[in-house]
Formats: sequence, structure tokens, C-alpha cells
Amino acid sequence: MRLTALTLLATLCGGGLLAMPTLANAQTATETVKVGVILPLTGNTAWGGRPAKVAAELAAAEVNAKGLAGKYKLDLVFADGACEPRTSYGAAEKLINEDRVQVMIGEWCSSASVAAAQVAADAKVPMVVQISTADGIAKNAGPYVFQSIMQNGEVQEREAELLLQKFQFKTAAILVENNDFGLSFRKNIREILERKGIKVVLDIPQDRHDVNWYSIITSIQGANPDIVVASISAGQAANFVKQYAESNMKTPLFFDYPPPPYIFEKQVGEQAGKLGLVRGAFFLKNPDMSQREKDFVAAFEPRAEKELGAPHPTVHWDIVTYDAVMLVADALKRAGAKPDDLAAALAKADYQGVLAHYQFDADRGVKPEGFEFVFIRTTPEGGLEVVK
Amino acid sequence: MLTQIIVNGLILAGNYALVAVGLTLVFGVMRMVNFAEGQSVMIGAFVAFTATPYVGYLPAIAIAMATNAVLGIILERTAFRPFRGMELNGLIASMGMSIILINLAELIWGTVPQTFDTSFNNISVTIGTVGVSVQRLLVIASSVVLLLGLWWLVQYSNLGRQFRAVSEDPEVAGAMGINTNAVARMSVVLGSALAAAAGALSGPVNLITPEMGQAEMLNAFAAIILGGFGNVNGTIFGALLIGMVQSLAAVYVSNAYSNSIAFGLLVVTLIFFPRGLVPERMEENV
Amino acid sequence: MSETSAWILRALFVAVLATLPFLVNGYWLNMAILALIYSLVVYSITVLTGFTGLLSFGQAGFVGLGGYTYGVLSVKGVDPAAAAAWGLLVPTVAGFLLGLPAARLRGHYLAIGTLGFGVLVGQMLNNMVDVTRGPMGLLGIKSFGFDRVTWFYFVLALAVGLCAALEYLDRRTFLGVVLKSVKYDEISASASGIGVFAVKLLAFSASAFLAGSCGVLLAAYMRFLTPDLFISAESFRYLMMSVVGGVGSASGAIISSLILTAVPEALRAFGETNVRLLVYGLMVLFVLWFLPGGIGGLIDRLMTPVRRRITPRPRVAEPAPQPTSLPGRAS
Repeated sequence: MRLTALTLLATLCGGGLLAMPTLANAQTATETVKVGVILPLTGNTAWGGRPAKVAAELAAAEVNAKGLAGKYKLDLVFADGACEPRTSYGAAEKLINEDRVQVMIGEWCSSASVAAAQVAADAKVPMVVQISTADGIAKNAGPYVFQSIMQNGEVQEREAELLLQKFQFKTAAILVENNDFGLSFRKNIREILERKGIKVVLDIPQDRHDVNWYSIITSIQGANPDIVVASISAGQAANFVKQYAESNMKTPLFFDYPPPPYIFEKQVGEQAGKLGLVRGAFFLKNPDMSQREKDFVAAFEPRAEKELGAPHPTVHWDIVTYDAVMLVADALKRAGAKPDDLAAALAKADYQGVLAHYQFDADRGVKPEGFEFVFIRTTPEGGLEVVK
Repeated sequence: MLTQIIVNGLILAGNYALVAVGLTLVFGVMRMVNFAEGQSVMIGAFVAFTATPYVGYLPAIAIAMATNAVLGIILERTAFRPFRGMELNGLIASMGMSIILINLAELIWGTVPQTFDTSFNNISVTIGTVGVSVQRLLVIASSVVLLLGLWWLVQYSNLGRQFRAVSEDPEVAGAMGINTNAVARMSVVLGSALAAAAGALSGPVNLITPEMGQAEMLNAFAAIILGGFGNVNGTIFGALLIGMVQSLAAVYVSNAYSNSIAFGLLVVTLIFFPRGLVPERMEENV
Repeated sequence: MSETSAWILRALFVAVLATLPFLVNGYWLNMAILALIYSLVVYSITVLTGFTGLLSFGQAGFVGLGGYTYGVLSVKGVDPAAAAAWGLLVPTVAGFLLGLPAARLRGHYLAIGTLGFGVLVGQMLNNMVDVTRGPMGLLGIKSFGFDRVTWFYFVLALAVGLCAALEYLDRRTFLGVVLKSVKYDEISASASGIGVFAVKLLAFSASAFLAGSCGVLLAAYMRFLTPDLFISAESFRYLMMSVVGGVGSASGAIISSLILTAVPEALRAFGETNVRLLVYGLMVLFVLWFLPGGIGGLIDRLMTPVRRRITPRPRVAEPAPQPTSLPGRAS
């Protein structure tokens, strides 16, 4: 009896590992290309990953209906990366070794994308990093990894230029969250501003888990700058604005990374409007947007509302995920599904997407010229407008 | 500036204290670390958020506390009662419960951060030169009231005497006819209800998300240790100290290392006072 | 069960593991490799908490120090062997230095003190951008040049070898007795002439060494690093592995790190939603309810009739002094 129990234990431990792979899917038809998509579907960034998943599905449906990938049909396989490197590593391993995807798109947070990119590079599976902006993910991961979004350094250069154009100021306070955007923002923007003769009177990072911004606000009051230039990610940005407005701060505020309007304006629109908050953005839903953007919004929003059970205004993360699937389809159409051919075709991409015109440089980072970048301001009513 | 630093520190301290006294109560009575305390804060905030449109803010706090009291009973039965005397199991079981609670909350309330505005959020008063919302003052005032209430309870009520007796020596307390199980259950219920108050009070200051509870725990741990594990009054003192030091250090030292500073203070204190500033009474078994 | 059949079962278990590369695909083999690497940090808890009775909430700090020392040096072009040596040395020295103040602390004061160490290391890895590249992540780390199957046998040999060594240390050596004497009764131990402080320092350094080696292997195997891999939550995940395995049981540690690494991945079959994590949490609770002594406890219980005759095993037979109960509470 006891022997059976221990054997059972041994089989449980060994066998648990063994039993799983037999469940793996059988080989699929030759004309279908499996595309692995890693997104945060649970955890603290799932608010963004879930709609992005809908955008990817929309893209695949269009590709398959209109034959945009030539003779290939796309079959998307999603995996949850949870915005964590360990989970994303597991997700990438699963997609490549078990689901046998031939190309990957993904993750959201840079640390998670770095993990997935390493797995893709080792397995020689082409991968498009469509959201993470940390500098040089593609460059460091090697020839199979592409970054189809402007990187932090480039975004920040564009921002500094616009900032100096649109605002009159002599002194500035820089405050950031110590994540990848924040820390590179801090370094880059400081250099650029000082080169232009702006005095940086305060320069502080805040730990990204710390929701208490009052101490920083106290320091800002002490330093009394002409403008506050900040890089804070989505939910935290709303916390900051809430606390900033409540402390009766009047100093103008500029934000680097666009917190999504469906969190930001919905939650703190009134406070941000009073401050006249300006931030950088790749995309804003507005009457003057391009026809392709209008078409995307018209197709995407009803679908997202149905899938997510709540209205979801389009943000650039949805569009870049859609565009990434389209980029892959375009490369497949031109070069077929062999990894090396596909990677070579991606490197030569010259594709007009919804958000941008995609071309890659020698390090497989997207060329920034293809992107439009605007400043947007929260209006006193809590709406958004493009700064002219 | 100093006024504002003090106000900031008091708000932090009030929050840490409400979370920390819950942890300390459970530890004192059961010798167990309740890892799910941070999740009780989160559930409290969400319950109050959900109830506010129907009953108003202040009654919603009471509803959140009542809901969490029930949650406390569940916690005690699932994570602590089965593991008497095996405190690491209790710690890990409450970790299991906290994974369950976070994911339940994501399923129920979604993952988009929510704003929890009350009528107190938009009224701002000026202290010195700084604006402080009435909500934040409410955090301080309510923390003081709740903590005073708890202090009275522990010090003078019958239940409090039982708490202290069981903390001192569960076996003798049991032999004296105290129902140790009931006292243990009450400690989790009280701790969980106080955490709900912390969540419902601080929720309107920040956005609420299913992950909000995790950050609270680290600093609460530091406060408990400073005050001496299992000692309610010491813990309140510890929370006050941590809140003030963090608030000062953030302005004058560094903000990127805010948690490290709390723990740095802690480690330095432990080097000189290995059992916290207010040591618990321990008997050596010679 | 006789002693022989126990040995046969152990051999069988290792043999089943050793055939894995022929039975599973690269994905599951990868999980097994990671699990075996994680078993080293679980052993570090076995030594520190299980044997010596010291509780640490900061093991991820040592893993991070080991991993980043290896990673940073390797990216700078240092030879993998030399980088690995440094990667083992740095956390060990840190463990020794942390041990100097920490060995004076007891129970939960020690646990929270070490938690502080873990928090500090995590924040440093994130903020020292010039050295670690911070949250941008470290890529381009050189490895040992093994393929996946070689990696598997390498870490399998390491994990099983260490497991056997720890079991031997625990059951058959004088050092094992010394460690346990410190755990169960510090005062009598020092009265019997045992240098309690030195023993604790030794346990700290050895534990940091094991955790650091886990970090070095993680960095060399995965070949990317980000500070998010070493946050405090990881320390508690390791602790969870240790408790599910039965604190103090090295055999339990290896089995539980295999299970707790594989299960969250296997649960992806439930769909990529919260339900999978919900099931994971419930599973942990169920294991603790039905196996309060963890997997190690189960193994001991199965072997007890034999052991009783040879050496009485108080750990399971009568769960009197629990590994981590606060010393000196008995009146």
C-alpha cells in the first residue's frame, strides 16, 4: 500500500511534467502560419493587454478575409505574460516549443519583452516588439528581433524639441518613476534641456511601487520651477495629478508618456483640465485623424466593447498591436514563412500602417521619421485637444 | 514646507498603523504573519467603492468593515486554524489566500484602475501655505479614532484582557478557561476590519486597483518590528516613526529608495535593540 | 517499507527524471531546468531555516546579487568561469556580512531584517542604471556553451548531488547535529560549548552561497536579467516552495520546486486568464491542508516504520518544536 503511494507521488512529480506535452496540438495545415502574441492578460497591466488582444484579433481576421498575407492564413496563439519577465519567459517558451509558432509579437512591459526577445532570438523565431520602448531591445537581442515602436531616446528628443517650441520657461523640475521610460527620460531630457540653457532645479526619481507623491510635490513647491516635466506611467500618473491638484499647485505640468485617456481623463480629467496638463502622444482620437485611423476606430471600438463588456476608446497601444500583425502579414506575403526569409523581409519592410510608416534601421529599430508625434492638452471640461 | 512634511508623514503613518495593528494583533495571539492583510485593505477599498453610490461614503466604510470581518472569519478557518503552532504554514497559506483574493478581485472589478471620489475629495483647506483635501484630514482623524478605540479595547475591555492573556501564554490562558479559538478568530476579524477601514479611507486619495494591497505590507512590516512584534501600542509608535522618517527622507535624502530607507532605519534600530524599540516580554527557557 | 526499497524508489525517481529529455518537448524540458535551478535557492532555505532555524525573507537578494554579478561581468567580456566564480563569491561575502548583525536577531525580527536586505538589493539593481542597465534589462550575457539537454543533465546532477549531500549532512554528520541544536535550543547548545554565533554565521554564508549559485545559473541559462526577477515577492515564492516541500527536507525541496514551477505553466490549459492563478492559489492551500508537513513530511511518514527502528524522527512523529517557532516562548 505504502509502495503504491510513493510510486504515485513519484509519477505525480515526473508524470505531471510528462503528461502535458501529449496534449499539444497536432500539426496544422501547411498554408497556416501560427503567430504567437504575448500580452499582459492578467495582473496590473491587463487593462491594456486585453484590448490590445482584441486589436490583434481584428487584424488577423482582416488579413485572412482579404488575403493580405498572400497564400498564408494567420492563426494567432495568445499567451499571458502578466507584465512579468518570468511569466513572459514561460509564455515565449510555450509558444515556440509547444505551439510551434513561426513568428512572435509581444509583451507590453520592457522587462517582459526583453525576456521574450531572448527566447525568440535563441530559437531563431522572428519577433516584433510592438509596444515596449526601452532603448535597443532589438539591437541587443540580435538579428531576429524587431522593435516596431519609437524607442525612448527618440521619443524624448522629439518631446524636448516640441517642449522648447511650445512653452516659455527658464527653469524646470524633472521627476520620473524609476522604470525604463522614467530613467532614460531623466537622463536624456536633462541633457537636452541643459544644452538649451534651461536650468534644472530639481531632478528626482520615485520608486515605481510608491503611490505617495506628496513628498515630491512638497519638494517641487520648495524648488519653485517654471515647469514640471514628468515621466510617470498610467495609473501612477493619475495618482500624481490627483495629489498635485489637491495641493493647490499651479506650476504648468508636462507629461512624457501618455497615460491612456480611458484611465486618465475618466479618473482625473477635471483636475488635469484645471492644470492644463500637456502630454506627448502618438495618437489621439480627433475629427482630423486620417481616414485609415477613422476606419480602424470604426472597426475596433464596437468589437472591443463587445469583447470587454465596457466601452473602450482607442489608444495607440491598440493600433501598434494591429499594425504589428499587419507588418508580419506583409512580410509573409513577400518572403514566405521560413524564419530567415521572414526576418530578412521584415528588415526590408516599407509598410504604411494605421499609425505610422514602418521602416527598420540597421539595428532593426523602427525609423522614427515614420511616426507623427503631437502634444495633447486636457481641456477644462476634461476632454482632450491637440496642441496647435 | 515643514508643515507639509508633517502632514504627509501623519497620513502615511495613519495608513501604516491601521494595517500594522491588524498584523500585530494576529501575530500576538496566534504567532502567525497574516500575509493576506494587504489584500484585506484592497477588498475593503473595493467594497466601499461599490457601496458608496447606494448608501453614501461614511456608511460604506462601515459596510466594508463588516464585509471584511466576514472575510476575517474565512481567513482564520482556512489559513490559520489548521496550522496552529506551524507558523510558516500559516504564512504560506495566507499567501495562497492573497493570490486567490487578488485574482477574484480582478475577475469581479476588472483591472482598469478606478477612481474613488468622495465629496471630501474636492474640498481643500489651506494649512500654512499648502492645500490639503478634507479627505486626507479624514484619513488622519479616523485613524486616530480607530486606533484610540483599539487601544481602549486592548487595555480595558474584557476581550482585550483575553487578547493579552493569550498573547502572553496561550496554554495558561486556555487552562484559565479562555476560549483561545474564539480569541484567535476575533483577532483576525478585528485586524481585517481595520484593514478595510484603511482601504476605504485611503482609497479616495489614490486610484484603487486589485494590486494596491501589496505595497502597504512592506512598510507595515517595518512598523511592527520597530514597535516590537505583537505589541499594539508599540506598533502605532513604529508606524508614526516610519511615516515621519519616510516623509522627511523623501524630501531631503532620496525618493527612489523610499522603502530601503524605512528598512535601513529598521536594521539600524535592530542592531542596537534586537527586539524592537518596545520589546515584547520574552522568557528564556534555561 | 525496507531501507532497500526506499533506495530503489529514490533511484527510480532520479531515473524517471533522467529520461525526461526523451519524453518531453523543449518547453517542458526548459521548465524542468528552471525548476532544478530554483531548487538550489530552496536548498538555501533548507539549510538556513530547516536545519538552523533562522528565517529569511530576503533570499531573492542573494539570488539577484549572484545573477547580476555573473551577468554584468559576462557582458563586459569576462570569461564565464571567472564570472561564475565572482558570482558565487559576492553573495557569499554579502551573506557573511549580513550575518554579522543578523545572527543576533531572532525569529521574526530576523525575518524582517533580511526582508530589508532583499528590498535594498532589489532597489539597487533597479536604480544603479550605469552598472546594471536597471529596468532596461541586461541582454547579451554569455553562457557556458551547453545545449538544452546538456543543461538539463548538468543541473540535474547538481540538484540531486546537493540533495544527497544535504540529506547526509542532516542525518549522519556531527555538523547536522550542531545546526539542529542551535535550532531547537540555543541556550543548551551554547552551554554544551557550541559557538552559536559562529554556527549561525556559517549557516548564513552557506545559504547565501547556495542562493547565489541559483542566481548565477539563472543568468547563465536564461541569458537575460531584469530587476523584476529579484523583487521581494520572489523571496516569498521561494519560501512557498520550501514550505510546500517541507522545510528542512532537501528531497521535498527538489520535488516541490519541480511541481510549483510546472503547475502555473500547466494551468495555462485553463486559459490565459485569472482563473489559472485562482486555481494555483487554491492548490497551494489544499497541499498545506492535507500535507501540513509538506512533501518532505509525506516522504518521512512513508519511511517512518523503518526509521523508528534506526533513529527516532521527531519532525513528523510528534511535531513538537516547529522549525521556526519563536525561540524561548515556552515558559
